[in-house]
Amino acid sequence: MCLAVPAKLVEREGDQGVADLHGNLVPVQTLFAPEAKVGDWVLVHAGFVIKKLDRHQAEATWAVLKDLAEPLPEDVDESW
Amino acid sequence: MNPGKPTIRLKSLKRLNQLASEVGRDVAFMEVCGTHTMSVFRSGLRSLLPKNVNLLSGPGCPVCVTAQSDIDMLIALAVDHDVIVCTYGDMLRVPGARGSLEKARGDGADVRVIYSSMDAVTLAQESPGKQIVFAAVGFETTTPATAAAVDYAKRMGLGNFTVLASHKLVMPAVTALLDSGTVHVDGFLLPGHVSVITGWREFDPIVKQYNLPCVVGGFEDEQIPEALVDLVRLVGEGRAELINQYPQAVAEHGNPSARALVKKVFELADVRWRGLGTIPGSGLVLRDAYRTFDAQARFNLSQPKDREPKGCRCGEVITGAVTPPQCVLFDNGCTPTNPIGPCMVSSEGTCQAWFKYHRVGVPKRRRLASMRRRDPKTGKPSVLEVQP
Amino acid sequence: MTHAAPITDTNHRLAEGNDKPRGRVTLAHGGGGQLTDELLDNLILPRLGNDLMGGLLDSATLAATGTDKLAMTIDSYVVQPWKFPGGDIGRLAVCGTVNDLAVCGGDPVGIALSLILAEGFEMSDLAQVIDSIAQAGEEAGVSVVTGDTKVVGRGQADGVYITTAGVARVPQGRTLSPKRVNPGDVLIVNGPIGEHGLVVMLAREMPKVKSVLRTDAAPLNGLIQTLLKKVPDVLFMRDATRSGLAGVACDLARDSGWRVTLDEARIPVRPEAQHAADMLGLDPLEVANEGKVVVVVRPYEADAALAVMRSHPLGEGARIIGHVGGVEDGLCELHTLIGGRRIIQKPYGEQLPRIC
Repeated sequence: MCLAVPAKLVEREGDQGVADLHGNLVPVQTLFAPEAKVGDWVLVHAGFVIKKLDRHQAEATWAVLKDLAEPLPEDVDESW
Repeated sequence: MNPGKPTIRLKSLKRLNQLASEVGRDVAFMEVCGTHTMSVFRSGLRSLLPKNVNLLSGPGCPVCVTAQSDIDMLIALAVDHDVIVCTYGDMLRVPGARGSLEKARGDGADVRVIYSSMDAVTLAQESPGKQIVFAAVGFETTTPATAAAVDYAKRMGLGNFTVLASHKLVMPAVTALLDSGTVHVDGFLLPGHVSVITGWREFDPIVKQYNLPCVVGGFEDEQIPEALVDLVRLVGEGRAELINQYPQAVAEHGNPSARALVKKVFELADVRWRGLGTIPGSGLVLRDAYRTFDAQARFNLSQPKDREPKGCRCGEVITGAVTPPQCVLFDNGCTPTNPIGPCMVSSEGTCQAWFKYHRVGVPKRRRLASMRRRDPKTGKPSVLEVQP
Repeated sequence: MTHAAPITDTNHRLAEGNDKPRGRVTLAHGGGGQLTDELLDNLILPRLGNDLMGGLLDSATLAATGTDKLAMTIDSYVVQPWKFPGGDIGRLAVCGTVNDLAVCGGDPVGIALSLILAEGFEMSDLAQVIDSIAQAGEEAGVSVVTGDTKVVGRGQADGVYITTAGVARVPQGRTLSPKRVNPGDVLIVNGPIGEHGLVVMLAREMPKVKSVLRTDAAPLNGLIQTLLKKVPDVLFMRDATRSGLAGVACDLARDSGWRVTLDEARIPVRPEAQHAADMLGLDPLEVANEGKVVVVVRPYEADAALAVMRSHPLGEGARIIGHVGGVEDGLCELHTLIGGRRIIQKPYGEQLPRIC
């Protein structure tokens, strides 16, 4: 029901900040993540940071397709 | 033809198939989040699920569960009053008794699509002569943004900003659904982003009182199958537990500062849900201290009668009682271009997801050997280059 | 069919002067009198000036050869906002029309330009739009050969609207049609998708967002002509504009009658575009492009087509993205990243950012 995207907090001043979504710099409200600092990964929903993410876990999630997906040669579809 | 690159398959899918065959009976899980519904369709996961694993969509799309009367009130406000209505894009096309906000805009009403509640507040600050009404919908994830906007408007003393709020809570709806006895599921895929705010403890009663396994899931392609693996495993082991498969974002008690602000601005109320009727303590209304920001009060709006479109089974669809094709209107008068019920409007509505991604039964893939073509000049079979 | 449409009611004259534009557009600038002449002479013609337009005629005359067929197209541009990262309505108006001609196998020979300006539009902004038209025309190797300018009252239009019509030569015997497409044929796209639509949506709905994304608007006639020289028997082409790649693939399936299958893993999407789309709740497949073409070729010509496209600057990111399948149901299907399958449908209309 709720789209939220991970981003990196690149600016913060009081309850306002800017989050970087891979090259898209989005103004965000940070009042719900008082602990989030510049450089932290955060989760953004409707222009609000709703969570400071754990750094290692966030990076794992973003790279997760590479980590979890394994090519299964027996499943190669010859018909393509 | 050789694809050059094997299709990516997820470990968790293999595991899911193993576990599902070990369970050896049909199992059904309910996802209580429209974004999960969307993801399941969009990633093609539905086509990969084991035959005996069934996913039911629950009341997880805020647009779809909004009572018809709330939508009618919003449209009446846009049409009959000299206001600017700010809405998330999700609400624009939802039909009410008098058309949609989109139609109202075409007829001259001032309706603006915004991305954040604070955009509406900014508009109010920039347009002192106009009344700005924010159509606030959403579950726990979205409510803090409305609370922040209202609280800010109060601190700034903004006299031209109000909200027409129909915020709802997930857990009371799930409880009502389980108590109704109409839905039989073996477990719940819990909404990841709602849980970011509420914390996973919020859903403990499903495990403790209803003895059903629950998994909090994320939304990436691989996170949903992972959550399903846990659910099937728990069912197989006969254990009712709550597993948090989205620890990157979800903590036990959620986001305390967001919950505190919501509690400061809103109080619990009995509200109407499409298809579920009035559920005690399932919605939020502004507290007395913030009542001046209530659009219903400021514009003296009366609650119209709840008249749901004739023949529309959205109410049953959002409770998982029927699947969209069981509704006679589905693809038969009700389509995304001409929606009758909200489940066909919202891009995360169950009906639209079915219509868009699943409407036509996709037959088993055929081998294309017979269609392989030869270069007429060289007589060589066609070979595609290998993608880098 | 004539070589150029006689459309103007204001004679365009070539002027020598190129004053720095000041002030705003007034209603009188569209009146066809001296002020109109001044606008043309001082602002528009110096930027677009070419021999054809200097001919003081109400229509342009273009050279034709005996055997070629002519292709003609027309399109209107009303994009809001009129400028956005990487381009503006002027660039769009040229690229869109050139591309519509190019995908029919045509070599564009001239563009007719109609400007509708709102009273109060800044002259300096108008100059920027005309400069973009000239720049895009130069990239495409096509001139604006005739034109028209009108001004409407403040509030009756928003800034600037442009209509461009174009004429192209198409060699005898060249037929590009979905009807020529058969099972096994291959779909190629010339680069990463979704960027133009995302850029415009961000500029319109979320102007405070600063993105590295730029519109991909580009004239594709050079790329397409290069391709057609090396692979003359391309079966079908379509530029993936407003309903995105999904729209082109669905139309191809419907019009050919065959199942069209796209492979998500092969569809190029830049991460910055994917993240912007995720934030806005959009699917890059359904978002507009203005410099992307889907080319359908026979399987044994796919390698050659790909190599030619990649040798061109606008085709460096060319990828095979799907194929025509042997099921005769006219549907478009996606093989997803995780190995699943789903139907692709043409988007319904206006794309809106959403939060749910």
